[in-house]
Amino acid sequence: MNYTQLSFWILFLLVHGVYWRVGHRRQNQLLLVASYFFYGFWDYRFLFLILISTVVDFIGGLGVAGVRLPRARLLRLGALVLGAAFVLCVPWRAHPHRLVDFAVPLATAGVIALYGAALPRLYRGPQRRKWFLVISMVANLGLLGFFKYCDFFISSAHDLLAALGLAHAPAPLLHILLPAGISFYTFQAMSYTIDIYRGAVEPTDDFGDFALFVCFFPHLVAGPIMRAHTLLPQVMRPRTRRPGDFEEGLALVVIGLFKKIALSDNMATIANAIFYRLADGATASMSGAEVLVGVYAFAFQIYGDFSGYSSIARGISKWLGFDLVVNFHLPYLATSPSDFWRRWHISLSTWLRDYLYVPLGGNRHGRRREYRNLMLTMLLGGLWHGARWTFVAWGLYHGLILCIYRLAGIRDVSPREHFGRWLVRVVVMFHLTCAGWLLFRADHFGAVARAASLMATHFVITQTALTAAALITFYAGALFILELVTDGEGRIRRLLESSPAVQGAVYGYLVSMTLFFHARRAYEFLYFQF
Amino acid sequence: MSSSTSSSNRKLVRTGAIVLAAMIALEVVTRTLLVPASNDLARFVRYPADARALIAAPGERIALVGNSTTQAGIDPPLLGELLGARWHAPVSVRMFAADGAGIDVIYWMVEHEFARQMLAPDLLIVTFYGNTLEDGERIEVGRLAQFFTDRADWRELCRFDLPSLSERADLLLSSLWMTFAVRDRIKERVLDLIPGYKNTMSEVNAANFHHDQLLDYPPRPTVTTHAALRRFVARQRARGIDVLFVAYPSKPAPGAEVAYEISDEARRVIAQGGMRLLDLRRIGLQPSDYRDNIHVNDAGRVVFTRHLSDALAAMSPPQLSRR
Repeated sequence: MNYTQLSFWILFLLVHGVYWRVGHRRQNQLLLVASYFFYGFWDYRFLFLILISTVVDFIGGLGVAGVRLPRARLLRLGALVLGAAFVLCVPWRAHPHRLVDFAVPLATAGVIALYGAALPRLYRGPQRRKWFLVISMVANLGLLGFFKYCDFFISSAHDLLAALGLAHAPAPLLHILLPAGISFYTFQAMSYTIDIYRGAVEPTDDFGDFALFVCFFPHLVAGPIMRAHTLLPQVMRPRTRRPGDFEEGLALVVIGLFKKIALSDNMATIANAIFYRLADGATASMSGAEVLVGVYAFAFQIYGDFSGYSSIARGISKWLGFDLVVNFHLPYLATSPSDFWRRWHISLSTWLRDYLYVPLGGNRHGRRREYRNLMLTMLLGGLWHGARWTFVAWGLYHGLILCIYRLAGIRDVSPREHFGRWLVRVVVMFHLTCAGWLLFRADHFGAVARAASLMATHFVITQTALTAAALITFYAGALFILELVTDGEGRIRRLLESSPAVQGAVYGYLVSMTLFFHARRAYEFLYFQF
Repeated sequence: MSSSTSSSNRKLVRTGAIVLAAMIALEVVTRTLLVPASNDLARFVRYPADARALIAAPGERIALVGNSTTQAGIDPPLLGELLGARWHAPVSVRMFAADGAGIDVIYWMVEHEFARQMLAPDLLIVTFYGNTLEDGERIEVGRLAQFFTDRADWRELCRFDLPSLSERADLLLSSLWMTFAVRDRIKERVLDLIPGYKNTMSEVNAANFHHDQLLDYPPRPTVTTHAALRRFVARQRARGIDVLFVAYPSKPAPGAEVAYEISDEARRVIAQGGMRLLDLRRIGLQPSDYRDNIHVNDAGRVVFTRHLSDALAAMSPPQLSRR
């Protein structure tokens, strides 16, 4: 179930139909049920993971703040987790009869018993705050590490051993299914406990509110990653229908659907054709210009896909009385790598800055430490995106260009200050970003090498390259102008304050393009796999 | 606040009215200009009249139903002429083809053009290739909604052919809204204004198709079924229509004798329905007779038409055999 499917909108209409007719508590319960239903639609077993993350951080957050949960509530939470393990993780359809069929509930019972036994000591201990924080980190990073990276590390270790002539049998992969959005909700849950540890946020003792904070469905599987100080108060406070929310939500949803369906999916068709051939080595008839246009197409595919998701998430949240943070701000108009990361996936880049770069020392301990911290932060940021070496390389590449720009002392410039210089910087930065997208999208390093070689040695402007470039302009051109006017989503009200004729033209264009110019194949949102 | 809310509501209503007016204007343009200007769509509109004209013609009346391979591969006037000479009787042949039509779409085309008008050709020839007789082929819902079905068919359509919610929503919107139904053609027409569009997209689609095949996308069902074929055969049998299935000779891969296999299940369904199957996959077409991997060119069309007429001539004329 996702935003481009009718089933989602039927669910949303049902929820919305009831939502504003009930009180605040009921609203939260309704959203919690809808969020779990939405998430369980992918694979109901994944609900168990989100529940573990929620319970651990709920107890941990309170523990860090020195709030001790009564025994009865702890028992209820334990029973909830154990019950969920039994209901969700036993293969009931296969008539379970072996001990291994009950492995997850039994392991869960063991962990709950251990945690329960340790809790009184944890509450009493002098290092209480630190221990609860460590447990939260280990639980969330453990989930993320196992489900997202386990097979990656096994296969990488196996490749290394094979290269040394020490491994001959196939890699013993576990073929673990990647739970949708696990990177998003684990990061969000972790930030809650860390913020309490830092004294930046007060914990909540309402489990329902906290569970909704973790799994609020509009942003659950692909962000934006919300912080506790922004989202939790919105969950806890009664919400009202604010004037302008409907219009703003509508604009965001329509723009978001356009970005995904008309822009991203059509760009995917072009980009895939180029990258498939690069991956397969079928590049005999390809020119470097075609590769370059393929990379441009991917740049707009990923922008349309991810920022489209964020726009829709923000739009439907508006309809429910919530404000989610702006996640993109004209990223391809960045003039430097640091400017780019202030505009692209803002909720992740600020997360990495606040919870990784700054704690590592940031720029406080000299240049060398600063560059090391930048490289480390970007490397982990790359790895966050997926379990592949090309993502690691993409992260390192961004770390490297950040360091180079800082080393060279290239400072940002505004178009009002010096338009020509600004334009050159934008064009250069866009191409640096595209070079990064080449690493990001390529299936393996061989494809990257082929692409680079074609661009360097056989850069011929063919009719195919020109036509593909014209198609990119056709799909992205009008959006670019609209986003310039509305400053991304920063001043979306400019659109809403314009005359009905202007709004009619904009909506008419966006709706027509979405309905009549969608790609033949609808692609899954790219960031679901992260 | 309430005055600002009501003014904002008024603005929203006006904006909605402008969008609606634009959509209505587009619908008028689609119906009055685009549909008549499109060869395909104009043909679909003409099919009911074509069916009536065929049935009103003297002598043997043959309806050719299929997809783009039928259209590219058979020359109806030549077939009529060749058969007329062999059977010593006038023979009328009309073609009813829709690109990419599988047996499920062919079912509805025959229903719409013939059964609904209480018309029955003497012989119905259904050409097929690859897996067009199998279930699970993608259906172009807009075309089906506007040209080959009407509301009376919705229950059967939804039960057998359009099981998913999105397909049913597509059916509803497409039947009410021509612009939406023919959106693929609008897109092609507009984008065709970009120089080199067709060639570029055929390159792009070929690369994507090749890769999708390697990945087995979209995943085909592990068990091949022929429910739509079974339904088609049962329906024509109940109406007493003589149907001949013709296996079309698409281009085999280098070294292969034929381009595709005809499943035993399909053969069985056709035979059990008392219908005939004519296998023309091996008629000696040369690579130069094809314009791509599937469709024959003008020279190939003459060869295929002659082979078809020879095979038909060896059978007794449909009306005579019935008398």
